[in-house]
Amino acid sequence: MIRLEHISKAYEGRAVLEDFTVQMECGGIYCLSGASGIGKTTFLRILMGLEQPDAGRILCDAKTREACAGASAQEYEGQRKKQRSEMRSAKHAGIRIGAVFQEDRLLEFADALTNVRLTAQERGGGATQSEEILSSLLEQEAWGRPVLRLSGGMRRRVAIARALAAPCELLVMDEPFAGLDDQTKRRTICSILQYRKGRTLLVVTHQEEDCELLGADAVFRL
Amino acid sequence: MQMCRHVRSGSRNAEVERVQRSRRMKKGIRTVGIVAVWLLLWQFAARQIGQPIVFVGPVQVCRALAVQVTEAEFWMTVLHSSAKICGGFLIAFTVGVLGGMAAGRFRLLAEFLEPAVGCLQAVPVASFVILALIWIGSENLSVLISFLVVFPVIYRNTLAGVRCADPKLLEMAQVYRMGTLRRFRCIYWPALFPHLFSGSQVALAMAWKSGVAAEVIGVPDLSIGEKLYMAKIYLSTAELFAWTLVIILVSRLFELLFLRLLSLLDVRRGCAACQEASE
Repeated sequence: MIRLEHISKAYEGRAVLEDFTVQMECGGIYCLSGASGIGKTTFLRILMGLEQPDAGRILCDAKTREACAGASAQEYEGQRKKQRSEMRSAKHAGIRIGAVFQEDRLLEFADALTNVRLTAQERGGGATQSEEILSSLLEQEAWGRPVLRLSGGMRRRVAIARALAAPCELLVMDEPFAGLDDQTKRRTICSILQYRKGRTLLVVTHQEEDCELLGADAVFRL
Repeated sequence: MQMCRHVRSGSRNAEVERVQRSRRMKKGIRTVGIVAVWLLLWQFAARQIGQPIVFVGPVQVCRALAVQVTEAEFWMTVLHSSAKICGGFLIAFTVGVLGGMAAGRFRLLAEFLEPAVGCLQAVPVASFVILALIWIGSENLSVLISFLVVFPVIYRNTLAGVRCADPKLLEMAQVYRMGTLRRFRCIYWPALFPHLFSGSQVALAMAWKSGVAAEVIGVPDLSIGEKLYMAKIYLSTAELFAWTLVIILVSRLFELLFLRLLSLLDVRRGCAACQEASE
């Protein structure tokens, strides 16, 4: 379980997040929606450990990592020694995150497969799995092209494949379907659900329909 | 239908190739023409002045050079000076890149080094040469001087390149917990490379100019600077011009070689390294 409690964040005196609380169960699918500029991305950045909240805390069940990742007893023991009940971010709680950022944040001069493999291998993921995931999302003839020369929709799918291929316990996706046509979006959602493999998923979206297609356990509204 | 398309695309390719070849040829002819006009102007000016002590033409320079190249001492001199100046450049390049990267990582180090680097850039080469003559003598003077001139340029360019690394990609690397080496190869290096390349182009020319100037002041044995100094003493302008031509040729050769090697590490190849790392 990951619980973000009474999270507040302000920029230059302007409150972006105010007393926001959410709780995600291990392995659940969650959507986060709200109007533009209301603080969804800020919330994700706090969750990923890229920003500190002004107030509030992130609680992480001590067993979350073990339950989600199926870590060995020794690994868990080592983790537990360091674990505190109160954490500033999921990242610091030892939870590994696979992220799809609002902007794709891909290595522009590298090809699609290299982008997907890089983060996967960083955490000991298999090359075969990376290829399998990418093939479900992107036509094979586009794999060898530098990401720089791919269309916006293709880049988006490479970013999604990168997150899915990375061995992690929490998948965070910030508007992953932006720029995708309806058919591609549905295919992408199928791939996400197939390769999520029981990991907790949090998706930021403006579309109610996306939450239904994903089969979200809960929708958080900001 | 498909065959027609193949034939059409084949003839279009041949046409494109023909146009490109013709353009290349025109450009070559233009370059040769421009150089020839300049040489003629030079020869004309020398003839008009008519005083070989003051100014010599390309024909006399070539004659002086032809005499020099037959002597073993000429090649030894070129080799000695080149080794020292290029050695100083390569040491400065290595230290500058490492120092720039470290300063990009640790702001305190950048702030600490800034006055020293600023000083190195501001102090005239002549002052350094005189000081260095007192400290280390004339033998390795050009190594030290080319190092002192090149280091600030490479250091500053490296630091600027490191600071240009995309913060969004760095955040991505942080979230995915990418290792330091991979971060460097895939994020820092592509940002750093264009800065380093243009910095190297500037520094290469500066290394030769300052290195030879130091040799002229220090007059170490078997150096191009010594030959220039002797040419000045004996008022042998043709020899002076010939040695200057040698400096231009040798520095250009080293520049081409170094930049060619450096370009093997360019952004796309940097990512090829990423690819290798990911396989």
